[in-house]
Amino acid sequence: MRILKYTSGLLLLLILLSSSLKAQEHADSAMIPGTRLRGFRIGYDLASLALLYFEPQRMIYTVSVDYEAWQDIYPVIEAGYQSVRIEEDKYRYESGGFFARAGLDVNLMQYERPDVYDMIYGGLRYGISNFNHRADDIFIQEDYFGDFVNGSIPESRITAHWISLAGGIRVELFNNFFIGWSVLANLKLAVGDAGNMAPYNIPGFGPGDKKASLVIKYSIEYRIPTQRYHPRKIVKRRSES
Amino acid sequence: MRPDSLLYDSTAGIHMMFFPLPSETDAFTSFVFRTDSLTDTIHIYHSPTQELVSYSCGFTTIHRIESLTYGSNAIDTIAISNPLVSFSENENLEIYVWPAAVADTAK
Repeated sequence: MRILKYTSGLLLLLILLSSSLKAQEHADSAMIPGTRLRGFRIGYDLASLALLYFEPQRMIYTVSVDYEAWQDIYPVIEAGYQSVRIEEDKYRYESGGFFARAGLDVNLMQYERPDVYDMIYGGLRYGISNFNHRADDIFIQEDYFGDFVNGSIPESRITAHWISLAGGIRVELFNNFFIGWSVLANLKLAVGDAGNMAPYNIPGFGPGDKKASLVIKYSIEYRIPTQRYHPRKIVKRRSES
Repeated sequence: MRPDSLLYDSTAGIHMMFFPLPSETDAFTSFVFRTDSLTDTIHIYHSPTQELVSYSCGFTTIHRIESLTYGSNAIDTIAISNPLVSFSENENLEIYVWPAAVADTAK
């Protein structure tokens, strides 16, 4: 939590700094009419690197694509792959599968100029995951009949559905390069038959035995600047308002 | 299969008994119910499956009692009150014995 607090503080500081620098750069230029750049923004979630330290038995790779379809409104698709391998004295567990989340982000920040892309945003996602899991080398201690060894639970393929509330901040560090973090609050809608064991972790959702979960992302992103457009929303200077 | 062994030496005053079931059979497990002069054998047909307790604790075996057969010298009826046998202490079988067997056991 302390890391989160420091990271969010740092990002907020970066947003303020970046806005201030850009304001200075454009101090002498006329504000309106202005244009905005848009294009597909491709991102990669670096938060999974923390798993190497905190949860080395699990690895997840997540990429995202969003696009400012309308001013301040970004349809977004996130997709990824997760693998789990747990080796314990009493069992061995493996799981792997894909996930996708699709939805919208809405920028909540008020800009003084149209060509500012830092964001504080909220959004909604629908998530789906298809994965398999199995357990082998199951050992159960039995005092009366003798220990049970080499048991297994055969592979089963599972599909899970959920919705997520998203919130986050994003800052344009350099032209078209962004970093930011976001939190997804997930609510499970349905999950297929998982056999006699709850999934260790549902790709893109979180712990398999929980109805709700949180996913934290820390992303680096690059926007491919393909188009300029005139934003509809009239943006005013602070001094004019 | 393990050699026979005595699970309960005397059931006088006992209202609950625990019968162990093996994890590696899908056939049946037999228990002999004997008073001083009466003997019955209970065959429990059960299907064991492994189930995850938690990722920290590992797995356990749960059994589904499919059916029962038993003699009727000492035993009147055995009712399956809960066919799912797990590691919790839920009651699974209710064994009713003839009054003569109770008297025999109480001797």
